[in-house]
Amino acid sequence: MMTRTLVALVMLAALGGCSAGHQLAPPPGHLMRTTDGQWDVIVSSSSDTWPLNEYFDLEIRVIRGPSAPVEVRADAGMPAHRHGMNVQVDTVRTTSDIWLTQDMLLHMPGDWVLTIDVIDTSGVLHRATMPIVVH
Amino acid sequence: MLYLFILPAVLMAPTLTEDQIRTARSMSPVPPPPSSPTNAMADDPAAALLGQSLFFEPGISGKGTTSCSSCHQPTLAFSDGRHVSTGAGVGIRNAPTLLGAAHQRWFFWDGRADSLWMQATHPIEDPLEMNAARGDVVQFIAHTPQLRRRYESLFGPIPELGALPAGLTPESEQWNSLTSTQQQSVNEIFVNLCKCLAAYERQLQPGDSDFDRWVASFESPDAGPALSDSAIRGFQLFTGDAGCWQCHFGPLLSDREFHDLGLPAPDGSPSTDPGRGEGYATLRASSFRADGPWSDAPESRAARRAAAARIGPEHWGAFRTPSLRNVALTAPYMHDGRFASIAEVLEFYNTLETQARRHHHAEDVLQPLNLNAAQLADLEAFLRSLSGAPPATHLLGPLQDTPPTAIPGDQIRHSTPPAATKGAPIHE
Ligand code: HEC
Ligand code: HEC
Repeated sequence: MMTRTLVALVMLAALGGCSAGHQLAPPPGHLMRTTDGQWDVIVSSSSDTWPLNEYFDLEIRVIRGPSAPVEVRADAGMPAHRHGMNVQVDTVRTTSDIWLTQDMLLHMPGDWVLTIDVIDTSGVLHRATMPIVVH
Repeated sequence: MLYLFILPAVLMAPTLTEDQIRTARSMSPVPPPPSSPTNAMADDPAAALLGQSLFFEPGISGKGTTSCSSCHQPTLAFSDGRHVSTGAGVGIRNAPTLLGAAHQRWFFWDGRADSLWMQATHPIEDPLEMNAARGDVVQFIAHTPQLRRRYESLFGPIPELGALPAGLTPESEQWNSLTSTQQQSVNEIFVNLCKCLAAYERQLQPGDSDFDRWVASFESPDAGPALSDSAIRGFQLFTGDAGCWQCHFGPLLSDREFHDLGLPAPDGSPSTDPGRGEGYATLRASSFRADGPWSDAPESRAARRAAAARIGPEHWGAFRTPSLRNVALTAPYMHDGRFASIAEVLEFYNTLETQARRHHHAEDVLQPLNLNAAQLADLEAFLRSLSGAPPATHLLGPLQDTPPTAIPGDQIRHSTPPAATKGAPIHE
């Protein structure tokens, strides 16, 4: 618990605090880089693990990129089972570089892939993916 | 020749890995049902009493002969033992157990209700089930002194509605002859009654089973094993190589979501029951949905989730994963009651031989298991260990002060004391 709190404090300090109103408890954010290497985002979740079949929220902080993104989207799927989430989520901007996706739901245990899409000012989509395991 | 398979397995007493212990703990005990913010009456004991009266009351059906308990019989874990249910007509689906139903997110095999109280609005007016009209139900309550008294002590006086024409539903011609205030009152009383039914159903929790006693014995080993070695091996298969746990997990052994197992129509061709594909459209079209005008919390997460549900082509022909609590008591199985026994269900999963050709959007989870007879027996022993004590006796029949006309098919035999509720509630 102590270590988690410490890590959380360090993270918060490093990131300059969370947006008011949507204070998401870490697990310390996950750094994700788009496949073309142009954008970095830190994704943190309102739950301490990737929760099995419980709703959770994702905070996506854009920390590096050639410009400010126009749009950010989060999604997840299980490629081996050929299905996505059973929910359709919207990602909304809360401050200039922080985006919030509410009500994500990973409804099955197993291997999921989290996808973050960053859409730039010319409408080009840059994708970052991260495998996650849900127990 | 069977013993040749069984013998080596019997000699090896199953030992559990850390992972298996963690998994077992995630399945037991059954916590209280999640809160139900869209129903302000959900946890009101007086509302539950009215709900119980209604549940066993055939007077609220069109002909006065069918109650909820005709198809949800307390002696059969609140199912009815038929392939498909028969009320005013013959239905197309199997009646599921109500023990633990309050834990679900979506109700019915196809999820066409998103709250337990919304669920209850369907069977009352379903022409194949109770075939009543909400106007008649309201009249019945207004003219049955015990029910009226209970209703008014919860919701205040029933407004003077005058003589309502028979058969009043919003679809009926006479509906438009009512003033909008009358329409509002009829709907409101109807919804309130359904919220009380839900309050009663929330008390129908699955009781402690051998499986739960086994998991509890991890804390106090001297309690002795409550499960046979065969059932323990079955648990290991279920949560391991057989892959059942991918959909049947948590205390209810249900992911509360929808899957298409590729069960064929009787002639072997792909099924024509659209399942979730149609259920979702029906749900969204109803004003009784959790984010609709009759909800007590239309902004809650529970209410938002229907609007946020993603319905893809893979949901056509998908049905909600049933709870496997008390599964040994709820034959026959599947949404259409096609399998008479647990062994038949396991045979399907084992070979997938009868699986219909799937459309190319279907999710790919099931693989033939090729288990031998001893392994199938182990899986069955595990499933049978999930039968629990019935709810408290006082919940298993009509209230004493409201002797209903007749309750066919209901003989209350249980006398086991109530199982204590344990575990932390899930909040959504
Ligand atoms: C004629 C038989 C019949 C009657 C009467 C009946 N039901 Fe059912 N019930 C069913 C069947 C069949 C289903 C499954 C239907 C489906 O999924 O399409 C069902 C489903 C349900 C479910 C959903 C359970 C779940 O896990 O999703 C609940 C709750 C329920 N009934 C409660 C009631 C209540 C309350 C009443 C009385 C107001 C009632 N039923 C009357 C046959 C009946
Ligand atoms: C892909 C998700 C999934 C997997 C994996 C899965 N099930 Fe199921 N199970 C379901 C669904 C969905 C139904 C209902 C299907 C229907 O009626 O069309 C069901 C129905 C059942 C039923 C019938 C229960 C009832 O009340 O009718 C049993 C028993 C069962 N499953 C046991 C198992 C076992 C044992 C395994 C592992 C060998 C397993 N399931 C694997 C999703 C799954």
